[in-house]
Amino acid sequence: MIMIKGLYKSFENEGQEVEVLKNVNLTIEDGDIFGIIGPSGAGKSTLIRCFNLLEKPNKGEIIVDGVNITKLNGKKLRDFRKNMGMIFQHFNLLQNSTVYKNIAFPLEISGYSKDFIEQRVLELLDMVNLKDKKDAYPSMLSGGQKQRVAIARALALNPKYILSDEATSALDPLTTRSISDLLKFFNKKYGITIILITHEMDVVKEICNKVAFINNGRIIEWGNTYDLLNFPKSIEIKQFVNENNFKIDKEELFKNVS
Amino acid sequence: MLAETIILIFRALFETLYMVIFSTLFAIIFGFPIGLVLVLTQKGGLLENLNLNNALNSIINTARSIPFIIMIIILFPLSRIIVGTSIGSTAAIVPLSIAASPFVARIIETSLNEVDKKVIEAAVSLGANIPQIVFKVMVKESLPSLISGITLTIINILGYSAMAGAIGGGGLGDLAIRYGYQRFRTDILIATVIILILFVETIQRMGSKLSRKFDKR
Repeated sequence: MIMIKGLYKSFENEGQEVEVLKNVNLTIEDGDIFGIIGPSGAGKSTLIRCFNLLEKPNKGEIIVDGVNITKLNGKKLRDFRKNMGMIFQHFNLLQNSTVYKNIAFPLEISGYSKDFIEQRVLELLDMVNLKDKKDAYPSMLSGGQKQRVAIARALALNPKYILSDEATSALDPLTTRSISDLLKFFNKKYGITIILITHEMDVVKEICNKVAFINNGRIIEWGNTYDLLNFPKSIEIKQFVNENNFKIDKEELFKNVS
Repeated sequence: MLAETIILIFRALFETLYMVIFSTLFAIIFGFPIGLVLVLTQKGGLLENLNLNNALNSIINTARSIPFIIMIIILFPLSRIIVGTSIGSTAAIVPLSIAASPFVARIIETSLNEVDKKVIEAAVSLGANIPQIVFKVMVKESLPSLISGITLTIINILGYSAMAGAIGGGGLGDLAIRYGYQRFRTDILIATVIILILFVETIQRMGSKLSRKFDKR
């Protein structure tokens, strides 16, 4: 379980303090697929990067399984991060390493034996359905395949949590679907808790059991996905839901024209 | 006469190779850590330390602004302390290595900075420590660029070694000046120039080929 209490984060920009997160409070239960959605510049990315301390909050607590991780550093922080895999919008794979070596990376840095690593990597390749791409380099793969490698890499150390930072935003709708299905599969089969940020409402509708809406660095509302999207209390969410529907309609309109 | 000339040239070539190989080696040994520290301590680096970074930058810029020929003259006494003499190819290795180190540091800095920050961040998110990030991510990802940089360094040191040769270091540069220029032996002058051209061409081709081989982007 992750509890976020009174989280603040600000950046300095040309001598000015810009508050990006303002008093964020959230609770993520084990087994959740927790979506954080909001317009660009709302602070989603900063918020998810606080979960594994890629960004250090200025104030507040992040309590993961009873430990306030904002106080961690050195080896304790690195060990904590091994329990929280992360995937990214642009995959962030090692370009000069094969698929195999990319997935082996977290295992190698954790000091596992060669035999164990081989067995585990092959197992992961099987899970993400990329066995035949074992010796390929990332530049030879499609976006969806790259993200599957990244997912395998994030899962290599059997983490309890996965953070997904706009993981489907660079992918086409069909591939987006297959990646969200894969995340859902790992959630169901291994009980991995997933925290994902996105600006795509479809991803939230499809896989998230809970959702938080963030705007201007504040959580406007959060809760059960069905309730929040169907009976939102705030005008901002109503607007966002409508805007998104409108966007989809407009795209379809253009498709017909061309 | 011809045999003598050939022996002269081969000896000079051997001296040049000797100077270039060892100077490159030492320049990398000194320059790599400096370049790495520059990258790690820069703004947004993994071990951000702007004071140390600024200090290192100033030292490198100062060292690089001293003309090489002056640098050798300044550093020749140091050769006497380290290798016991200030004349000959071995003595020339000391100023060559030291003069090339700041250059290598910049080359390493540039190459390591080419590595996508997001890939480094992914390694951080996977719990990698700094040595692991440096060797398994930064060096590995920038290997093609590092190889190109080292190729450039070798060719630069070759040029420097001719200058070091002219003031007592031996090698092809020395031969070209003493025989080709001062004794009007045009044949020796031409021979040394041809050897140097072949040398640069070979190193550059090998470097480019190796760099391409490791580039999977």
